[in-house]
Amino acid sequence: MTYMVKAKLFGVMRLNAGVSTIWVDADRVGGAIEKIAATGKVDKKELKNRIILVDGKRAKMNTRLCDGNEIMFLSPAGGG
Amino acid sequence: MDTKYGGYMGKVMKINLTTREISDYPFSDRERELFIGGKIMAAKILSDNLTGKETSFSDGNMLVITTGPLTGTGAPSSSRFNISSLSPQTGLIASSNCGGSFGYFLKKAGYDALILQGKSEEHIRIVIKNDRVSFHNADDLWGMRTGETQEHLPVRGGNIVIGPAGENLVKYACVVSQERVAGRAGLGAVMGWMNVKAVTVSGNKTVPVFNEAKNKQLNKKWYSNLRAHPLTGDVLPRLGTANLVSTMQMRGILATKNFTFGQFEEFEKVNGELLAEKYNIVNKGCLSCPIKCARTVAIDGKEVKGPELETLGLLGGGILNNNIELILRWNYELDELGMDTISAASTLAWAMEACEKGLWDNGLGFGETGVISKLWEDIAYRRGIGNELAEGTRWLSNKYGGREFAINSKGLELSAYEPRRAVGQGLGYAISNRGGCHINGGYLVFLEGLGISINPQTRHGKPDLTMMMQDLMEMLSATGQCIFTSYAMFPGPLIKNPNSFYTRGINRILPYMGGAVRLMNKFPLPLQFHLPVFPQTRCFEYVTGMKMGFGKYLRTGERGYTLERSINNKFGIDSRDDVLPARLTQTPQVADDPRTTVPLDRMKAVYYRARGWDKNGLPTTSTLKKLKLEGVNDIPERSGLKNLELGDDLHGQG
Ligand code: SF4
Repeated sequence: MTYMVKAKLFGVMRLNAGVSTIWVDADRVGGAIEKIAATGKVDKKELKNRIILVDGKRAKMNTRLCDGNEIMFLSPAGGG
Repeated sequence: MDTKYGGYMGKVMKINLTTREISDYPFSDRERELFIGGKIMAAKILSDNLTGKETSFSDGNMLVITTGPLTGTGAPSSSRFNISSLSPQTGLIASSNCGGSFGYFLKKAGYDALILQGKSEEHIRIVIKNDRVSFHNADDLWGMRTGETQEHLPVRGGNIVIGPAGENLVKYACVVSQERVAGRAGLGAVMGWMNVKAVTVSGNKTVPVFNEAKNKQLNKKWYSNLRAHPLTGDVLPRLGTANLVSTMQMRGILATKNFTFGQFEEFEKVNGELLAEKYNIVNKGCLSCPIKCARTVAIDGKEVKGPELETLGLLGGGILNNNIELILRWNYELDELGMDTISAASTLAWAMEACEKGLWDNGLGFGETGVISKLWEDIAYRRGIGNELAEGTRWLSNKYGGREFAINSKGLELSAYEPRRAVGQGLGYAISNRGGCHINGGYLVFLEGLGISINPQTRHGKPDLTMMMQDLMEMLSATGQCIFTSYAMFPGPLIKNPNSFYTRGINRILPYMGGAVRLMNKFPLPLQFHLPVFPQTRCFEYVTGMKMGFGKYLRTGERGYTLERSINNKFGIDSRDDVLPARLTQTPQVADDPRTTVPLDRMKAVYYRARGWDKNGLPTTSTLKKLKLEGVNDIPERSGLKNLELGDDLHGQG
């Protein structure tokens, strides 16, 4: 069973993709990544390499998803 | 030329504003070897002249403007200059760094540093052209904002100016050069007290370089490495420092509601991505910088500088404001009035909370933004409640209560990083020489969840890493370089692939390598070689002709840090002053997670030992001897923060 989840991109990845939010249906983070990559906006390897949070908590490829979850993909950050 | 070394002009000019006497301030090659330039050179000059009894607004204080040996030599991001003085906010030594063109032109005029002392009888602006110095009445400029003031100054050359806030001695007034700002610690008020509205400097001298050919070759490669690095070549140019807002939110370190929380629900309305997509017109930056991290936005049809991360954070979540357009406007207004955005925002947040808690009926409230533009004016001109807000959070909390949420250290307000979820940064804020400054504190938060992700809650290894980072940045700044160039020493894959085996391994191990880091801190000199990822040392050699290696680089930074500490000790600072407000050390940020406070005392004790300071936070005699600083903290009579003229002993108050 799959669920509609909201994927949010941050940092340079979002600028590269040209969108901030992509809705996909998936049951695990890994599946969501496949679907996001299939939109052609973001590279799969790049998505996998990001820090990934589901509803604010650190997630892995096999983290289960539920309806309405928010997956966030963070880019590296620096400044000061 | 009074030096055998390249990179230096060999002269320091001192102007006594009271008598208008101009003299050469002696600074020897031996001192150049030990104190390099920038903030360390300034600390040496101040250390030799301050007794521990001066106040920031007094004839004994000095405004010391210094450059680094790399400035004007073509090294990347090396046009930065430094201003050091006794801060009206802390009463202690403060250094403030700026990227405008003033430093470059000061060297073109033939000087490594400029010292201003005393008080002019009339409002003046000073013009320095090569060896010629002239004083001009500045009554016509007095009262003008920083942009308008600069429009009235000669186009050729570098300027520093103050705005109305500096003229009216707002404790956190800043100094402005072009659109760049020496923002922190109120040095604009020192300039205002001196009655100096502006200094313009120009000249036609060339900065000598010891080995021009090798320097050029190295710089070429260095520029391209910076352009290829994920942070300095991609993130910072495209998103500016504002890129940090989103990551800080996820990490729980985005100061929200006067540091009550570490996350702001509406962060996406005030983050760097939105700034880049909707408002940024073009990237700008300091001279000779390939990174160009500054933003440009439009305000009333004018292209002006956009906000940095600290301003977005503190004027966004810090006061529960979700309107980025207001932040763009306030940032511009504060720059024009000549006020530090960090301290202004933090003081405002404190005042909102004080009102909410019934301590001070000032009519301000979180999320109520309609009055704020007018409030900045009231602060700058010291009208109504603005007159009290102009004194900053420490003064206000002494008057009204609420010290536990007066978010400052030694009188300087903290920047936007909430340290309860990055405890090493908490240690840094507390022990920093200039007070609540993330950079002078070691900027450990970069390792605790921004660039890389070591455990942010553990205290293990943090004191030693803090010391190393502080010493490194102390030296970067002293040479005239921007600290952002040091990001390139973290290998690109480490930053780009946070989930890789390699990155996760480093994140895990680093906190437990405190012992190894301590060893390096203690015995840096055997590391007398160049690291391939750190071209700074090689470049320094090519420019100056002095010997330099990574170990000596760290040791010189340590000397600078300890020298500033010793000056502060003269003014009565000891371990009782290396503190944070109770909110950060006693109230967990996450209610059911007691780890989310800053375990300050335990980290502090380890830090003092690592630095060779005694348990009171005073460098020991043997530490001073090791650093060739013998005698610098001979304290004839401890003055106990009397320089703040607040009448009582302030030890231990944030
Ligand atoms: S990185 Fe930014 S602050 Fe640093 S020198 Fe370049 S433009 Fe200036």
